[in-house]
Amino acid sequence: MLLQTNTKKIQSKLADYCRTGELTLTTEVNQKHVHHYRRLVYNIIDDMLQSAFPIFYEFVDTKLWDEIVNTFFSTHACQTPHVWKVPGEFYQYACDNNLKEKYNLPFLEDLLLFEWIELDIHTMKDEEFPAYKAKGNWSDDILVVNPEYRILSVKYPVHTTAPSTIDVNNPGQYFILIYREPKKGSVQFLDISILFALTIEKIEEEKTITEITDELQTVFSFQDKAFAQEQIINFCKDLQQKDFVLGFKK
Amino acid sequence: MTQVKKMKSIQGKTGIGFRKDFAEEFLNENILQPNFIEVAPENWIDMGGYWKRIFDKVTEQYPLTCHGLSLSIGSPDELDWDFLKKLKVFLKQYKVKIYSEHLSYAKCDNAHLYDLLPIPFRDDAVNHIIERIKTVQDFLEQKIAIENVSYYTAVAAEMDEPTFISNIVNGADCNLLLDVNNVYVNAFNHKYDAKEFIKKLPLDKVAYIHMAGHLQVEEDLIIDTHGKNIIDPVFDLFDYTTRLIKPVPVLLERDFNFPEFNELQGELNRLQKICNNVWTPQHAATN
Ligand SMILES: [Fe+2]
Repeated sequence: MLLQTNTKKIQSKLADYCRTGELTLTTEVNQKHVHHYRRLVYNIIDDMLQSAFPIFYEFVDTKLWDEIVNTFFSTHACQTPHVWKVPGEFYQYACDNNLKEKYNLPFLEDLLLFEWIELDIHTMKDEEFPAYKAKGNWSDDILVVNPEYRILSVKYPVHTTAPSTIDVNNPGQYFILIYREPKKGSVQFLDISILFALTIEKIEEEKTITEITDELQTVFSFQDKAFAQEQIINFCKDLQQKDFVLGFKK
Repeated sequence: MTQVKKMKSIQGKTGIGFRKDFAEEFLNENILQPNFIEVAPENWIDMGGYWKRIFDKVTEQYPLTCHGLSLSIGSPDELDWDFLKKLKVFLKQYKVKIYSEHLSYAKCDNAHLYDLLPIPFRDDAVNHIIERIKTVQDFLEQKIAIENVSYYTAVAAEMDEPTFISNIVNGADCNLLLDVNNVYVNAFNHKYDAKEFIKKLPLDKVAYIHMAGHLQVEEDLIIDTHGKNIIDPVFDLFDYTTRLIKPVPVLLERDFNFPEFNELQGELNRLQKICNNVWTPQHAATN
């Protein structure tokens, strides 16, 4: 490397100052003006996270928000060259460092995940849409779904309930279908039951609804299997209206 | 009409930084009429869905130049090859002839900072950066343009700024993106003469110009915000600069605090008028 250790060290100290706010450079920089670098760099991260996590930002008090963002930025080395992907690293950081316990916010990971995935689905690279036909047999044909989606499994209803009213003592199991509507590219999310979450999983395995109902029979022990199958078909028909189920495999 | 626009040369023409903030309005109205647009590739690489469609639509209509943010050419860190590979694909896909980056660093100790930090003006940094620019140019199979950045403190400098810039641009045989507003900002902040500074640069290497507004935040400090209109002294400095160089594309940078489109178009018109005045063939013939 052509860069000498001393120069490298100075660059490192300036970068470190921008991340932590702790200045260790003295005569190397203008002491009166160098603080603008810390301010400008920090604001970029702060603004990005505020816009990515509006619900969480609204919920926490400013002091706690600042503490979390500051600790994140000073201790986590951001890896992505795309600043708009930093919120994904922030979510991962919150999980890795168990912030939900540290700040006694049991729903924190669920909320950050929900907010991040909404953004991620909106911007994710275009997936190739599989070929499908518009008409078919709902029971015995394989359904084709929009490939631009995620199903989240969360313990708290962060998608339906404001954080301040979530009952933290009553975790449950919730499934959220988040997908990108193909015509306009807007993000839709739906609260779905475990039955329907499993249905989508099995559609992806190229199973027909008749086969899916048979398999789910072993899990849910339906009293009335025909009725259960009808429910699943109705759910899929509704998802077709909502541009998630595209049609039937050719 | 859109096809004609794409084929035209952008030398001596004015363009604007394309922003998501005004994308829809831009596509739906005909008020803002740049000759080309510029984007940061980092904001569009790997992007799909709604924004990808907007991007494809706008790049069908306008020639595109790219101005990077994350290459971090002045960084002590290794170059990011994964990023460079994606960048190369992107530049080829959108037929980008002008790709520029800042003469600064935005990543250090394996952490991105997403802003432009000033490099120590030193010989070892010069040599280090020359090698990196050469590597990038070889890999991308095209010359890149390096931009003089605004800075708010010199950092352990051992040479002056024009020497630093000139040594790098000449040593790497790359192009220079001359940001005229940054010269003005730095001349104010570091108390030098802007015109004298420009004269010391390798002006034969200027391939692109940036113009922008700024904000004075302290009695002795201006920040390069791109959030205000260009001020008259910067227009004057631009006029001065155009007389020293060959025709190049001129880009208006506006990143936030957007005025009405007709106001932005007014700035483009004023820039274009200066370009036409100095760079038209008649003028060159009488010079
Ligand atoms: Fe610039």
